[in-house]
Amino acid sequence: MLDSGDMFLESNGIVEGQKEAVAARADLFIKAYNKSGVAAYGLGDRDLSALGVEGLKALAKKAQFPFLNANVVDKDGKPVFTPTLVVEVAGFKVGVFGIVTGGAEFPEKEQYKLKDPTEATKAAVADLGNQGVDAIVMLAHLDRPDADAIVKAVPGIDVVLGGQSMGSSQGLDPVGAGFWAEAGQKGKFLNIITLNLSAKGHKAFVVREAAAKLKAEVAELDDRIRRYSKLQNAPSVPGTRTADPGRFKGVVESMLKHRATLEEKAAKLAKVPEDAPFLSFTAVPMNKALRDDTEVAGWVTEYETKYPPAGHGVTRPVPGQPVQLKPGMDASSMRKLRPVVKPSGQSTPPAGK
Amino acid sequence: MRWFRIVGVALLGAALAMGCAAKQEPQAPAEAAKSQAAPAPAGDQKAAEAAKPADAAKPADAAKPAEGDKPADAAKPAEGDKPADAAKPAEGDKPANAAKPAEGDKPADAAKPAQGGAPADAAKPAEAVKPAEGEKPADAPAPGQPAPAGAPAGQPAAIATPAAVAAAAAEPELKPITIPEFTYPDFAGKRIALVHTANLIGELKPCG
Repeated sequence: MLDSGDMFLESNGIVEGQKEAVAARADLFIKAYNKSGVAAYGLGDRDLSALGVEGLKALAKKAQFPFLNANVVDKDGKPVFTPTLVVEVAGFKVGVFGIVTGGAEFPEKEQYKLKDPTEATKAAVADLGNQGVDAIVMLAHLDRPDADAIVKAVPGIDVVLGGQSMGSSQGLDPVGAGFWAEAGQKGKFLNIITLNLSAKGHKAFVVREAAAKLKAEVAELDDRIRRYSKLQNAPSVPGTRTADPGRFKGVVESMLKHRATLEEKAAKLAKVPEDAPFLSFTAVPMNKALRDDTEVAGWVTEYETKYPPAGHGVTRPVPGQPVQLKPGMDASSMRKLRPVVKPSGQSTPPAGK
Repeated sequence: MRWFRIVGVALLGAALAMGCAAKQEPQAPAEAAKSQAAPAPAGDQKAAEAAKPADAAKPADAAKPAEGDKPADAAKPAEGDKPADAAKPAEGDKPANAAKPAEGDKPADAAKPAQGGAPADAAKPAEAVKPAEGEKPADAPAPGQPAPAGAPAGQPAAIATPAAVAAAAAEPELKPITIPEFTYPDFAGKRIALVHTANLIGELKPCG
């Protein structure tokens, strides 16, 4: 199991009143991940800004899996965290490395800096290549355009597991010589990307299921086009969504344009080499029907009893305590905090507002 | 006396006006019914021809749905509608769904009027058109609305119901996309699953 970052906190910064709660929450996550058998954790920008490099270094010592990152470096340019990892499974070597966006911030700017993500990626891929891996997986806490540019600039990356952009993939999206997938947020989905390997040696992967996926996508789109066309042609009924049926016209036109691109894609489909290693993709939605691990559920209950949640996954600062940003933090990082309700009933807007 | 003459003329005028109105009234909804029934499937030339005025006296033909349509579905009212009203056919007409153009069909000659339509009180054209799912059907428009531009001269003015206007807007024709199917030999290698997540952002109860 791999995680592409931003595990610990929704906001980018911690206010003074939250420090203890955030630290306890981070410990809880690490304990749960230790129990889950996570193979590697790729750092995200919120992890860095909320806990700082030092905080993450301390947390990494409690984890039974590496914190992967190749572009947070010290003054000498050496990676602070584990830059690459090779996992041997079923006789094959899978190489994994992590990159965080160049826009990440952390309080210890004097001691640490961010290396250019492309340069760090080149170094990581070269390192994994030297170790004779059969596949290379990138934990990319990057915006999609940045990830695309890096993967195109650095050949050899087979699977790019995205964070940062928080999108949910419906399939594997080609990027460079590899494929991109992302798993949304808040654990609503787990993606399962299967590496189907027949022979040792690093070869470019293919996706065999492209035609089937495209067929399903076209069928779904056609159904939507028909439904929206009916809405577009429906009588205007005030107070309903067909009050102005004309507004569906643009939606239908947009879907027809998308359909044209799918048609182009279908025309370009070709059979992939039968001897090439191939990838499969499944998105598994999580829901309440899944049984909780009783021990982990107990830890969560214990945590929430001690630190009652205030929404947004953030523990509300204690009224009366000073609300201060950590050194180096930007006031905009406070935007998602709700106003603190004072005992008198008067509310104070979040700092920076 | 002069006063009585004025009243008498006024009463006569009113009586004439009512008489005219009574004459026109029975036809108007029938026209509306026809204006609904007239839309013919684009992919079905026969049905389109059936909507021509010469055949318009045979509303049953004109209203025949295209192959592949689902009349049962078409007559089905949206949730919250009054099914009895929505599906109630006019006397002598085919079922109410007849007024609904087939999926992907282009309505043709929607504005052409019926000649010798069904009895007025039975036809509820606007309700007979199946509204979008979850929508309430529109009320039938008041009779006597102006005929749309392009209506044949010398024929009674057709009623531009909202449904007729809506039907006039063509649904897009979706040309099938050919997607090849490839077959591969059975896989005999090893499968390694990467289970991936990201952005938990502090969520302690990710499943709920």
